[in-house]
Amino acid sequence: MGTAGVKCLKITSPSIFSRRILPSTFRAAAPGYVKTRLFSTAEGDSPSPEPVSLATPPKPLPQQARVVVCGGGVVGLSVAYHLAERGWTDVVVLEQGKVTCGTTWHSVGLVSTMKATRTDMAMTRYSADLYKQWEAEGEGVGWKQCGSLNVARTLDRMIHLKRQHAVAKTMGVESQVVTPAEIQDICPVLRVDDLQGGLWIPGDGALTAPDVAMVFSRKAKAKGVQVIEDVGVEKVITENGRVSKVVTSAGNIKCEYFVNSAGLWSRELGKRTDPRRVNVPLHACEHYYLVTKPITGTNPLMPVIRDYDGYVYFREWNGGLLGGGFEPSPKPCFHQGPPDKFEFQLLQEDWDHFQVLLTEILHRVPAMETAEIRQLVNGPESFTPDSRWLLGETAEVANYFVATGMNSSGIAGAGGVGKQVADWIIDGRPSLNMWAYDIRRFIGHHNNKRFLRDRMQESFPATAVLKYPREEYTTGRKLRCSPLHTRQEVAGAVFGETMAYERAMYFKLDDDDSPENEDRRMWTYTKPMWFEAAQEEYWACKERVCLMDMSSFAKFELESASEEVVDFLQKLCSNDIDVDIGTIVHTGMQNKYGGFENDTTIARLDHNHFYMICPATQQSRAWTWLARHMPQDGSVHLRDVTSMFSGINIIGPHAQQLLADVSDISTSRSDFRPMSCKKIDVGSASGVWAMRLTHTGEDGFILYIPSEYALHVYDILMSAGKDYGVRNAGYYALRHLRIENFFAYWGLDLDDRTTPMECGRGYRVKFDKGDFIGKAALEQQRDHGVNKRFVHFQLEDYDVNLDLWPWGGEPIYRNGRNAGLTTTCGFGFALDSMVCLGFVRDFDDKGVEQILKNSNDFVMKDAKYEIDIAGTRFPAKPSIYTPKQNVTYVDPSFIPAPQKV
Amino acid sequence: MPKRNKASGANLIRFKLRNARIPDAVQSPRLTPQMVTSILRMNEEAVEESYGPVRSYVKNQLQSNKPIEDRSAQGHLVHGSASLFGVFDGHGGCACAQAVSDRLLSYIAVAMAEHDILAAINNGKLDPTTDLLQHIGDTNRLVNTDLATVHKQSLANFAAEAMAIAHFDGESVKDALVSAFLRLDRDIVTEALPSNLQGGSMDMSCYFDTLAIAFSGAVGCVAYIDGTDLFLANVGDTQAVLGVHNDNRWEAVPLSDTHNADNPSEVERITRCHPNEAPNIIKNRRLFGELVPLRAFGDVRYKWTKTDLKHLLNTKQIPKHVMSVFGDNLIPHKYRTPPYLDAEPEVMHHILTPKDKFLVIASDGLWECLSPDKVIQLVAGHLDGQQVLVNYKPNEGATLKEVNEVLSNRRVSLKNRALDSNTATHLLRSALGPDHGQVSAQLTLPQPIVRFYRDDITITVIFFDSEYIKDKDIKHTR
Repeated sequence: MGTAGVKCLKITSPSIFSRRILPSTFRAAAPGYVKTRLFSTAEGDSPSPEPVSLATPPKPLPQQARVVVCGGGVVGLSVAYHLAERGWTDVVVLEQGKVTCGTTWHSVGLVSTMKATRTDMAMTRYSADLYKQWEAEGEGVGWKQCGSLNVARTLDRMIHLKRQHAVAKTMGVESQVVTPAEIQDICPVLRVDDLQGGLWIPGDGALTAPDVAMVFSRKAKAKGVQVIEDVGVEKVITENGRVSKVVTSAGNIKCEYFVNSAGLWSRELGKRTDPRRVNVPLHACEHYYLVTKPITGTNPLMPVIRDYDGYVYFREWNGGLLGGGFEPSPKPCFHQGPPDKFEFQLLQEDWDHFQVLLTEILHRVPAMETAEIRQLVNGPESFTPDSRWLLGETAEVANYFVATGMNSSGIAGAGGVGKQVADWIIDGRPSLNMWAYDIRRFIGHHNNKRFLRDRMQESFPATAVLKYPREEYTTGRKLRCSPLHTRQEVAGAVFGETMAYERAMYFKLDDDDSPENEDRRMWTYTKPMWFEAAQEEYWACKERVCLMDMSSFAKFELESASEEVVDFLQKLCSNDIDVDIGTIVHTGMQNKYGGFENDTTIARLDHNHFYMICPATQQSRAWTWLARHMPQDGSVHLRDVTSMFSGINIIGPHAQQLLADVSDISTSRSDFRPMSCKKIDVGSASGVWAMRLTHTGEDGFILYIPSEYALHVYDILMSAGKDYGVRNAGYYALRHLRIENFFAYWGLDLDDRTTPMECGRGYRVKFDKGDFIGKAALEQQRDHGVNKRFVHFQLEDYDVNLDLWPWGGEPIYRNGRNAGLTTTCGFGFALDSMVCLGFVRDFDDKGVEQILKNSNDFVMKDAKYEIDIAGTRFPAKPSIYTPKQNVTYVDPSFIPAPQKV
Repeated sequence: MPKRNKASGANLIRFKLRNARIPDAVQSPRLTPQMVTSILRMNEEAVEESYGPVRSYVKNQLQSNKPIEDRSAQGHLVHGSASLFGVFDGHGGCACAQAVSDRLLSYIAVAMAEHDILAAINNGKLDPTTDLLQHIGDTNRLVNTDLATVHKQSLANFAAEAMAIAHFDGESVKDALVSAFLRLDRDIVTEALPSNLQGGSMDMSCYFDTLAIAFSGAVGCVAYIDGTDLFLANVGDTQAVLGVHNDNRWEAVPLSDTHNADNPSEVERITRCHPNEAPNIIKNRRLFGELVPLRAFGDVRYKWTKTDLKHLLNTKQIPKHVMSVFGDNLIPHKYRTPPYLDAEPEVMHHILTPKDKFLVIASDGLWECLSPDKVIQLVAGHLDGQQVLVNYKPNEGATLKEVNEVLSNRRVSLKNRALDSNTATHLLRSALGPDHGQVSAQLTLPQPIVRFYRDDITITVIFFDSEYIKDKDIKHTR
């Protein structure tokens, strides 16, 4: 531990914190403190020494517990509380110092419900409701319903707010788009002359964060949960890949479940798992806020202000103001891990670093110019590579859960996170789709310390900096590159990244850099600059032939000596995989609720040998799902061969002839049937698995090539394809093809709460093949109806050049009533209209999903649809099948080959 | 530019050919950043002692010649309150520069000494080499005791004559500086005369040393700082520039003229002394086509009479190889009316004001790379970056507006924070690079080649104590 170099400040009173974590009993005994003044510690207050803790006096550690939660911060306590609420009371919370002493105690205590996605909103709203209820019950969390005001300096920020507003409306969260003049009325201290407008959320508020943790703790303990302080977790011992025992500084506890809620310490704690470490990718970063002395005339109910175009936020604080922010170029800290002892401590404040925020603070609230400083707070907080929380069961160890990496929104998140993780532990899955927060979205490399530190430059400011749809990260790039990477680079590829794998998104056109295209932007809410390039690639796929690099897809091989692997896959897959050798099957892997754990393509290479292709994002998750269900006797061998094979997709009407030219095999449809695979030679390379399928609906082949041959195969195809007009195509073309063709993708459209019956894939479920996971749930849906239905929409009265684009997450209205959100959207070049995919539901007045007895009728009969893009509703034409496209395929011989350079 | 170009053209061509096949030294640095830094810092020195108006000084040096031909020396006068800072740049070897740096400050001390002190020297109560001047910082002192004895005797003679003829009256600093410079040069010139060998006052090896000193040369610049008086005595092409902070702008005020062919008044001065010889004296912008500076210590080839030079050539005791460095041209072509060269300094007097923040004295190696304006900007920026304290804490009761103003200023200053804390090193790095690749390439130039790219560089930066000057200023005007 490199703690020597870390400068830590022990808080000396008087400070704004000295009284923040007093127990309520203490408060009662200390008359003279008005509740709202309680945390003020005006100069005259008697300094309070060490914070007094609420936890029980030391008592012997229990020998065993069902769940051990490590971390007595607001999140760990919330998990314990929610477990207890559901009757799991055999829970021990271990805190290495005192409750809240890590980061909870210096939290600003903002509770905002206006978040990026519906799931975010659902979780923060749950938190807010819980805290409000407690305040009403007299639990005293300092809840102040002052509302919040998110202001916009730019038009793009305004669009962002309007998009949030549109989603909030569907959830019944009250919000209002306001003009600068209205902002001035709501909050007179703000400077508004440079604002475009804002969003006013009256139901938001602020509270006293440590008090929330205390209530969680108190309520959990009342139900029997033990909260034990001054006990650190030294090691987590696993047996057969499951949690078995926790080694602490005060003895061992046998347990079934372990929850890592260690905040700043989570990553280090994850490493102390025996025998296999658990990756918890997060890094600490300095977070600053400033508290002023009282300013006369400050409204105690001043709303929380978020001026994120200037990176800053404000709240009222004991007659003064608190201003903090998320500046670009932040200062990552604790790179060698946080010190073991860091209780109620802050970091040395760096005023020079804070200056960029101070300027913005004074700009927005000029009244603060004459204010005096009470304290500048530099508290470390932990951030994740994509600025989303880390929740759920880890890929490495079963029953090892995490609830950490709160990215500076721990208080707003704690309630919802605690509930979801408790549900996850008890039910085996959370009650909402948590994929965005699921720790399995990461792979090993994400835990690389240097990667994490570099990424802080983007993930810390992400709270404030406007991130456009699909905007890529710029740090931590070029980590995983396919063998074709440099060829593509030379060809003008613009890359995106998935699971750190660089994928060509599109290839620049010659005039992309010309002066008239100067104003066009890569990241925008309107038509992006790649549109024409994607269009060219799209048509090349439709009319000629393209090569697409599919190397990023997760690939697995499964084998056994005899039939075991077949039985194993039959149990996991809803489709029948006991097919002829050389046949390919698209299948879902369902959970017991029928939802897609994974959506995969499986090729039977031999009797007991399968090759499995999953979306790139599934690399951790699919492995975990397979590994957890494998026969205990070790008869089935599972190998991750992602890095071993590169994938080239030959896509388009000429693909058949092109492959024949370079491989000396017959590729006619009768000799090489769709959904079949062969091991072939391409050029001088051998051992290439050719599969006749594409992920877009066009004809074509995917070649899985041992990586060292990939460049050779690519070059051969490129030169042989010259006369066919072959070109490179990227993921934007793929995306547009598949969206237009109504192909659902796992992770984008499908998730673990979507069943095949709901997305029009009932035909891929073979009920008669024997038992498989989720069969009962699917039978139930088949016989009684589904919760939602996947629908293809074409926007009408829509101008792709001028109107704001849909990017996924737009509310769908059916006959004026919210019916869900879109999942993915893209322009359909053949349909010549903007296409949105999404699920249509039937919500009752309380917002509860109704079962759709006849989903076809519900979707198509007597239904008028509208899709709300940032407040503008566009009529939409629904379809539950792939609409007919008006494309005439020209005979290949008449298509001119591209001119020679 | 080096003073004499001795490396043959063939060498250069050979090097270029070889160089053409190896990777570009800038793009592919051969030194690591750590190595570059340690080389640049090898000779750095910083003295933080406040002495009168001098708050502190820093210096650094980088060699191009091997051994380096630059020298520097600093000291305080024991009697009185003046500080002296000298930078000397030798040529044709380092002997003369070494001798000048060893001796000149003591000569100045003697020239500045009042009657009583000179008397004390004469009756042996004071040692003129040790008791008049307190050296500060690192100085390469001469270790040859025989030679030291010769030098000491010359100094004692100077003291005796000064007492007898024209001792310091406390007024004319300028005259004292001129007489010290001239006297030292005269001593260097006469100590090496062949008559000394024949007279038997020196043994052979000692005489060879004096010859080496006299036949090599040196230019130099000495700053004399006492109260608000700043005198700069300069011989040759070493330069001193004052950094003046005026209305938030930095101004470079040169305090010396360079004595070389670029300076028309210098050329005129020489041709005036040697009428009708003009085309012979200055050729290729050099004295006799050989020497860049038009004033210098040593260089007796341009000072002795033709007779003395011939005599030396014919002296049997002197091995041929000693003189062979000059080839057959010991006596310059058309050498008619020596001396052509002297060491009379040009002295400038400047009254320090609180706006004068620092003085940079450096050998021409620096000025060939950086203009005086650039140097002043660099030092000023470095000073600014250095002055910001690491951890700012607002004062109790400060308003946020005030705090923000301070922080905004600090922001600019923090940008100026340099890699090197020593200002002289910062200048050195800026002169060579400042990019790592360029510095590395400069530092890895092979020995015969490096002189074509840069000369020895010696930098002394003296920082003034504005408060002290302000104080003196007020008293002065009263």
